[in-house]
Amino acid sequence: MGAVSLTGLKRDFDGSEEIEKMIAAIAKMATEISQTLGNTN
Amino acid sequence: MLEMENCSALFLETAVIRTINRIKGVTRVQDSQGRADWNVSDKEAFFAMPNEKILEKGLKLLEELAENAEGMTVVELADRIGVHKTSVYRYINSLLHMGYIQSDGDGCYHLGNKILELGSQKLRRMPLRETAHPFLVKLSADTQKTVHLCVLDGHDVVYIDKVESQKSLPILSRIGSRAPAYCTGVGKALLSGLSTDRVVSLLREVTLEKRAPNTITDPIHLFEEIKEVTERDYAIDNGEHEEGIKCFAAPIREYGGDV
Repeated sequence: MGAVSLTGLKRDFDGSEEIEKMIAAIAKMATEISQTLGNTN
Repeated sequence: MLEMENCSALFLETAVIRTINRIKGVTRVQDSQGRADWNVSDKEAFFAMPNEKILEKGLKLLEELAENAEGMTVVELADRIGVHKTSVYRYINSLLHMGYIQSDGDGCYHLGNKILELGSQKLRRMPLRETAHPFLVKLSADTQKTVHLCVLDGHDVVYIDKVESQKSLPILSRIGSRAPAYCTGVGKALLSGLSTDRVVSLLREVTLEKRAPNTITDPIHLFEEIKEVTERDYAIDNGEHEEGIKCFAAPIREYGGDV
């Protein structure tokens, strides 16, 4: 169907905590979009 | 019928031709203002071209203009699409008339507003984009990063939405533009939703060019990477498409779990 991404400079994603936060945020958004589409259709 | 119309057009055009010179057995002609200079065999070749090939070349012309924002001349277009400039003039006349291209008056041609209309209509009819857009806006505001929405088209990803934050640096991607799936986060997320056979087939079809220092160019390595993306449900582009740019991506799944 599709995919979403969060993009920035490599130096902006310093540290594993920041990276985990970004991964969690993008995964959450993909799930929310999927659920919204499921509810709509 | 089309052949008859083509023949009629040829007769009409011939009526305004001022000079006809025989050079080495080929008829060369100029129009009434002395601009065009082509030979009859070029014209015959154009008319002999199957209709689908004519359409294909016309669309290729539009694609070339889309890739060259500064515009292109007739000679450049002829060179890029592999036809004589006489044929390019014919495509240009039709496309100008229909609003698909426009001229800057200095011999350079650009895409016309009609293309924008078509693209906008296509985007408006994409429920995925419409549904996802508010989420993209929110995530970009929360993280101060650029957020993309993409779909897979052949070996490429197509950017169908992009939201930038005020603090994020400009990224090269544009809505409607393409990038290779194999070296982008969104591409790997999309490939992770395909069957193993399809992924193998795609990897055989595409040349894994080194786009950036970290681009994965070994198909086995890339296949393993895509398998990992399937398992963990997110992908990372660690400077594989653009140097110095990092990207985290996730697939949007349909109700049945397909990407």
